[in-house]
Amino acid sequence: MSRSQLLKGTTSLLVLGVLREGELYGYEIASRIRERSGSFIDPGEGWLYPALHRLETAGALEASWRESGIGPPRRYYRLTQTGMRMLDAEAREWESFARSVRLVAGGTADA
Amino acid sequence: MPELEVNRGEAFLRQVADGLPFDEAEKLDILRELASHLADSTSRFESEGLTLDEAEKRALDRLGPPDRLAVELTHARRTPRRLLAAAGAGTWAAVSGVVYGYLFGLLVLVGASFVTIPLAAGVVRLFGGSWGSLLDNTATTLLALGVGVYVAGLKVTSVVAARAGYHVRAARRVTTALGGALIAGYALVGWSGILTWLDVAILLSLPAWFGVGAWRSTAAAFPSRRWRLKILGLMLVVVPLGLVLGAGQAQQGGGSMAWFPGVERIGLPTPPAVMATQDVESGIGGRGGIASISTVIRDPAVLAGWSDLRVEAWRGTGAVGIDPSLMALDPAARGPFAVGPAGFETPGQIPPWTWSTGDALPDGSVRLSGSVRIDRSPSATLAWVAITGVGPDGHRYIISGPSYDSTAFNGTAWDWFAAIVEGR
Repeated sequence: MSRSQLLKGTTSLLVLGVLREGELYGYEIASRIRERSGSFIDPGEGWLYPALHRLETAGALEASWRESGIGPPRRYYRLTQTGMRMLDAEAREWESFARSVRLVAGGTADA
Repeated sequence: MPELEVNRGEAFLRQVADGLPFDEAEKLDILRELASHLADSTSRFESEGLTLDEAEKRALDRLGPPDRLAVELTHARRTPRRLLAAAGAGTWAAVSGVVYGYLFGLLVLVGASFVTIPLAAGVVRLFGGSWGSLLDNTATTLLALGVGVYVAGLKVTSVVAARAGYHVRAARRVTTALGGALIAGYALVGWSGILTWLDVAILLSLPAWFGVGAWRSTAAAFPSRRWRLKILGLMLVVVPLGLVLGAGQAQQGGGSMAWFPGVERIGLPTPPAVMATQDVESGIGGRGGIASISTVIRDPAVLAGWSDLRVEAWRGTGAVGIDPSLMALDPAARGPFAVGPAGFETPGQIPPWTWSTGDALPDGSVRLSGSVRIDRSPSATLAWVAITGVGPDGHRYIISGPSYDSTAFNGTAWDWFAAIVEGR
């Protein structure tokens, strides 16, 4: 399975995960995911903005434009209470899924 | 939107914008965000040693094809809440479009009539003849309404598409079908009033006016200069045409005639015994499409043995007020097109069907009266109304009348067709 296919099922989790620490704008979110994953997850940003807008319309994120010290104004995203609950639920789901995959693949349940 | 330093980025954003079905403000919001991302991404690749051109190309490549990005952004922003907002905004656009377009259409029609009516009158003065306007108040109102629903269609699709997050091509199928069906319903059973064949034709064309508008949907301001000129040009053709086609329109009025061609088909002449006892206080009156007729009988005993007293309305030909000698019973009429009840009034009481005042009658007299609805036949412009009854010998006689009254169909377009189907 390609990384981009794996990414499709985890975009919400990745975006919500990096936003747990505070407000970020789109490019920062992509950079943060790339850095945290040791550049393992770096498929390009075509997926990012649709995911951000989907989460925003679902009420998981709030967005606001703000001037930045360097460069153009940026659209900052912030996690809402709904987003927090969604993150917890998706993280639990991912953990269960990953554990199950490891068990099936012949390993142990522990990472 | 932050400026990109090369045209490739602008072209990318323009392609994304073209694929987004939202309103301008929402599009701008999305494009500003993407432009900001491209600027950051390009800076990063430049700092890693790429040239500006290479850096921007790389940044654009990482966002993928612009049309796919537009499609995914569109899907991401579609929600059921947007559909509700689209329904609300669409309704408002339709109502305001109808009002604005109607007023605009009315203004153009009235303005055009100011120009054409004196012209037509001048031509008639110079060359003789007569003229009348086919575009009566109803037709004028309906034509203006046609402009109104056209403008509503024009506005509705673009508003609904932008609010719901669908392209105009997809939204117009829904708005055309839904709006067209609603307007068709209104045209058939919602609009009620005095109708001519021209009014019915305009009414039935209203869904098409809306459909054309909805299909040609535009977010541009209405009315554009080109549009104004089109309307004005159209009206300058339609109004004079209406004036010419409407030459010799019927006037309103009523009266009575002792004899006219075809009267024998209504019934046998009033028997002398009955005629001798009738008072001069007889006549016809009209009110809201109902013709009432009455006569005073000084000696009610003359109608002993009579049965089936009723008011009959027969289709006439000719035009009231033009030349009474041309008025006659329609040669094709084989029976009344409408029948109503007739009866003797109770002294001191005014029955619902009469136009009489209920004034005291001479001792021993009775008033025989009745009424009939004459505004439900599309082909009747002149009605001959009479009280008839079956005499003791089994023949139907005319007891009072016939009197004529001008009429016009009054009802909905559905009533119009029902009347035609029923042969009224």
